[in-house]
Amino acid sequence: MNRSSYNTTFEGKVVILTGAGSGMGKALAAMLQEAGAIVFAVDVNEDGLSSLTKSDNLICVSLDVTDAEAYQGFVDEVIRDHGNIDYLFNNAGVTLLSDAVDISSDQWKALLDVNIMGVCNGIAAVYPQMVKARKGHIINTSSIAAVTGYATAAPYTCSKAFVVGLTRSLRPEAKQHNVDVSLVCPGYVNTNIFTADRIIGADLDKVFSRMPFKFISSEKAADYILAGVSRRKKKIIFPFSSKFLWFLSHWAPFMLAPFQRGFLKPFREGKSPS
Amino acid sequence: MSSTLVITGASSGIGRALALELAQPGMTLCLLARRREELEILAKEIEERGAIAVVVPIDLSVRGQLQDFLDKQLESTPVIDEVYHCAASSSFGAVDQFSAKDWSELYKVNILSATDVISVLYRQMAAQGHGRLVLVSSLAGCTGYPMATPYTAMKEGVIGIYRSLRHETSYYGVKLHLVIPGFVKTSIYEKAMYRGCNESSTMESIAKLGFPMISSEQAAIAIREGIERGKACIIFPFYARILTFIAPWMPFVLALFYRKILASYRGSDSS
Repeated sequence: MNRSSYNTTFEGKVVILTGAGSGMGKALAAMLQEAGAIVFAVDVNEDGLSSLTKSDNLICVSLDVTDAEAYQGFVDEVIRDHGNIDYLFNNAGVTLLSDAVDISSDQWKALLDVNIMGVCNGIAAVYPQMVKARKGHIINTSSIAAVTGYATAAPYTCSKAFVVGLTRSLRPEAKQHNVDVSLVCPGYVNTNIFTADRIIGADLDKVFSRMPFKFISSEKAADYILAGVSRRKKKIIFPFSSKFLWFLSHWAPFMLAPFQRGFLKPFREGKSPS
Repeated sequence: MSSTLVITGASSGIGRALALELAQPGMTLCLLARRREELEILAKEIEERGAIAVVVPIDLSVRGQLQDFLDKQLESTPVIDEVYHCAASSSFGAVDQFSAKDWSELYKVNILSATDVISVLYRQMAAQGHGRLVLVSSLAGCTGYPMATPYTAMKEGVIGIYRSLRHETSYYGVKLHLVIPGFVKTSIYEKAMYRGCNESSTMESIAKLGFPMISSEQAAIAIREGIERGKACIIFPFYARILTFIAPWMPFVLALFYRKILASYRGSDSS
């Protein structure tokens, strides 16, 4: 990836980046800051924010994206101080791996509140401003799992499919107002999105050993994203295996069935259907 | 047949038509929706067909109500055999017109109601070791539909659930179906959330697209027949099957529709 290709794209631009405290968000924050953007790094986790490299053009914002009112208040402040917002990275997301029968209503809601309503709140607060300014770019992070499906990740794929649908319909609308919308579909990225407390009913190591593709680093992922964003690409799908999966899930989804069975195995050990 | 069926969104549209289509002597149909009066009228029609109707006036977007219903229902019928999740609420208008509160309202009706159906009713059927879960999405969820973006995105969310869940349910003896209807003439258009546009301009815009609307009775028949044929994914009418097939491969075809939709709304703005 050629970093200089986007170096000037983000210079002096006002960026709101959610989920900036860890994983891809953290890598994006660092790289955007390096590229000269004014980055508002949003995260609910203050420890994550404090781990970011401080500088004049990186502003840490401790904010829960599910809190619509606080989100709006924060965006109003940014507008007041900087006039407009050039980029919104809807990056914050959580996951949960479990057989759906073991997921409670509250666990579904907790995940979807962040992954769906967090995005909605961002769009509701920022997009009207972009329409008014007749410029801006919204980058929605989904996952390749949204199109392939992912046994043991029904809430997550629900939320990420929502993001795919949102991007698809919003893009032609936004184009009329000179606002861009991009979809990001990463494959496995090495972030803290998979941790033991995000897995119900199986052993973390066993789940990991079943993952069929190699993880790429957050830095590599952020590089793919920024290169795609600077070229105003409609879909940013990476790494190559994800492009292949996108293709398979549309043409030959049955070929993914063995993977799906593999995902379920560690969750079904020692379990018997009633 | 003494099976017990649960139908959400039963007071109107596809849910109501489906209740009438499926009702058979000896069956118990639990009719879930917000409006009691409509459900009671439907219950009479169902009882005329020899089935038992249970009127359940609940709001699926209020947490816990579905669980309360299930606990109570299991006292009179030992199992739940089939669940048809039809409840939904549509939206029309440009995205910049939707407040966070609007999004949240649509999220409760279109997403959280579906996930509650899974965490309460699917879990029950999985514990029984048999059952059938039918989730109704929308053609718009497959193709995208500018000016109906929040609804469309949430319907794609429901498809996302299906994509993952379909690998999980057979282990527990539960059959899972996804329904993708094209345009169906129901009160969903009357009750939709309109922002910066209205029902008549929306109906005009849909008419301009040129896709015929089928009745909810026709939709109910298509769903029943699809299930009888053992189809996991039930798409109708025919043009919906063509569109879902070409959607991933010829996005430029969809772009033509998007342009038409956007132009028709722009036209109504200026007039």
